[in-house]
Amino acid sequence: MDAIRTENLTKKYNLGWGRGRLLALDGLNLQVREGEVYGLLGPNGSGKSTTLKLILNLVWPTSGTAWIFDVPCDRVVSRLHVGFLPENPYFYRYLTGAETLGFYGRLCGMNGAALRKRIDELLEMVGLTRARDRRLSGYSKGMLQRIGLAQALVHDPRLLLLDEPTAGVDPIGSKEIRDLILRLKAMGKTVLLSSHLLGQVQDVCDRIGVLNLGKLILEGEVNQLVRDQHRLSITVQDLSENARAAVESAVATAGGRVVSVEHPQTTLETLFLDALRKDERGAGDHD
Amino acid sequence: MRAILSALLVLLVAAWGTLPLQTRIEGQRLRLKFGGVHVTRQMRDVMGQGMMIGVLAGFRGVVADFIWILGHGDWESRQWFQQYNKMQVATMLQPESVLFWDVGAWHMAWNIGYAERTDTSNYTLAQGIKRERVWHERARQFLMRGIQNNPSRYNLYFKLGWLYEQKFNDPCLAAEQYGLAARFADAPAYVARMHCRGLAECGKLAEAYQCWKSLWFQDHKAVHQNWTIVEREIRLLEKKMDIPDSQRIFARQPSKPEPH
Amino acid sequence: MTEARQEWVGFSASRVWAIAVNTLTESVRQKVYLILILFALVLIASASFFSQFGFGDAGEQVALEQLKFIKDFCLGAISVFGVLIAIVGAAQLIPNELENRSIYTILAKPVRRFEFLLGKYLGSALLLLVSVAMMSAMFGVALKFKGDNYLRVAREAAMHGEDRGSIEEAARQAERIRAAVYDPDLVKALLLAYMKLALLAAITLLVSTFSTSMVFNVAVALMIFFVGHLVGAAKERWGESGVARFLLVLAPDLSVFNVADDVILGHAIPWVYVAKVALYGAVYLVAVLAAAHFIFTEREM
Repeated sequence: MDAIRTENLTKKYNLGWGRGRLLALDGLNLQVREGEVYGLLGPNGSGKSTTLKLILNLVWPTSGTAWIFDVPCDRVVSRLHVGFLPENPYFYRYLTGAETLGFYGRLCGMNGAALRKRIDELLEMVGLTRARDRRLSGYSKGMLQRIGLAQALVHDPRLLLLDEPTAGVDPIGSKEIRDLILRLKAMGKTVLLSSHLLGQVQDVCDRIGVLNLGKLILEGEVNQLVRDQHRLSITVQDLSENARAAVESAVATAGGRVVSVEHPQTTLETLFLDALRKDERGAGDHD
Repeated sequence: MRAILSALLVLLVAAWGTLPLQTRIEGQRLRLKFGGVHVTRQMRDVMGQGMMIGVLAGFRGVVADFIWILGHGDWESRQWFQQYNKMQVATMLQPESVLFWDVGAWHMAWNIGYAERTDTSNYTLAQGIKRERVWHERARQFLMRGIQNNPSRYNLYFKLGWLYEQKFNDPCLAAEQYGLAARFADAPAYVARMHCRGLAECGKLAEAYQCWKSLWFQDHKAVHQNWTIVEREIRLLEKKMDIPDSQRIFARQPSKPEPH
Repeated sequence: MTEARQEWVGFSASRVWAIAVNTLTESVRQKVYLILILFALVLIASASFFSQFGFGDAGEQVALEQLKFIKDFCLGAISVFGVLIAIVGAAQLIPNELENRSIYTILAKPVRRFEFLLGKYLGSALLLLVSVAMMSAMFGVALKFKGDNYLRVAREAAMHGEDRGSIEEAARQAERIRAAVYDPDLVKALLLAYMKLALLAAITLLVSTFSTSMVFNVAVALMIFFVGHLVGAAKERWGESGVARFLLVLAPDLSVFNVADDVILGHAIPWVYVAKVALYGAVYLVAVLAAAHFIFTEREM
């Protein structure tokens, strides 16, 4: 069964008198399979947030339909198995982390010892145990995102919708959120996330869809899409200058063409994180 | 669009539906004499915008108190007319506050009047006396309006009687007012006594005698009254009017009253 | 975790309550509120330290005058601060949730929009209840403090009178002072004042369902507050004109809740009156919340 399915989902916003309508989403046909991590990409204003809101019935489609686990989205019961992390959340500034989760837990019908246990589990999972009694007004951006993830998970949903989960978060926090998403995938959950931070999405998503001006212009498996079918990259070690020349001529003889010879690069992110990890104080104290 | 119409509809239904209830509430308020107030020109002159808003928002009592207190300020700086105006406005705002009428009249007749009479720097004595009389009259009008608004409280009748007695030197009118005041259960015992004495001073000895007698024949245990004084007055009148012995209440014993 | 899911299908009072308590907690912890309520409490307490403004010519008169001033002032303060808390508190309910993005997280769960609205309103009503209760308690303390002073003086006078007549008169004066201090109808006045504030909060909430500007919400709610007080007087002036009646009918007559002045002047308020006004308020409350529900349910987030 598809976790999410949309058929011709269209949304036009009224801009007020005489200014016409804004086509935010144009006939979206989307299928997110259960158990996969799907990344919805696109520039600002391409319809990513609108898609998420339509699925959650926060706004209503001009035409078309959406289903969550085969339940139409206009029914309250469709949200039984969904957790949502909105963009730029602040939550309740004067509640502590634990109190916030307690509130959401009670909203989902939990209470008593079971709720307390769940709060502890969630705080542990998102790495906020030490900040559990601090008010959210004192949380950093990354911490707010993580408490947001925790509240989305409070009722152990099968599907998670994450709107820009790593926007504005520092590289360490960002990595942790991505690791969390991969852990959730390992637990069998489905994740639909929207982002415009392409590099970060590449590491977590199985499939991606690209939206532009409300239309889906590209979709497919990440690995397939980014692979350059026509070229081959061979990484070698301990090669002398003469041996290198020999390899290049061998390629030319075989009919190929050497496009570039250079030292492989690591990513700036890996470099950064490794440097921090090596510096013990930085690594242990980032919240 | 549908939402706004539904919203308006439900409000209209509530509003029209509660009309009969509202009418019943209005009726009860009128019977209990809870009040609205009509804003007059005089009020607007005395009250600034802030106070007007206060009155509109239902804080009549606070505004009236505030104006009253300001009036005291005027008293201290000898601005009699300002004080007078403020006292008028305070009573307009809360006509059922006996306090304002009572103390206001006292200010007018006793304090302001006296101050005007003794203000030798501005007036001659003759002028001063004339001005004082004007204030007495003002106090009288004031108290009469107060009585109209509070016909069931003893205080204002009593004050008016006191005014007649002390400032108008008219014991007959005073006695009348004391009598009106004495009708009410919360009137102090001396009010009835002053009524009787006033009648005597007015020259209506027979009525005064009846008055004292009817006081005496109340249940001494149930009603509290200064029986000593009542008895003394009756004796005096009996002597003065030369009542025959058979009709006297107290025997003719000038020095030793009978134990009761 | 599965047991928790069974109550999610229908309307859930516990969800409403969770939202209400959350709203109350958030409101009470705000610095603005703490300062406001503290200021109110200090102001009310200060009433018992007013110096003698009275110029009455007898001890009882001074006492009654002072007690009137204290009661008018304190009930007035409770009203003013109550209106502030009601309007400003309720005006933020929905806009704050939108700004925090928390409203999305709540509505993304299987929570009905009406449960959310009701929960927010209930939180506001609870905030008002707590605030009015605290202010009333402080008022009671201030009144008792000053009143007991006067009572003591009056009772001493009653004990040291020259004769039985003046003793009994002094005793009656003391009794009148006591009645002015320990007046049970003051409770009724406070009760009706609370009901008015609760209705005002609901009206403010209704305004905030179609506007997210705090300034607009507060301004409109204040306007309705004043109009509500003029309705009674206006009906007298223009009662028979059809158009005026039609318009006036929409606004609730808020002046029926104001019995403070009358209580302080010594009128007794029958419970029947309180019941009628409560019913009137309840009907309007339901209508206002229903109207808010219609508008809020159709709002896209």
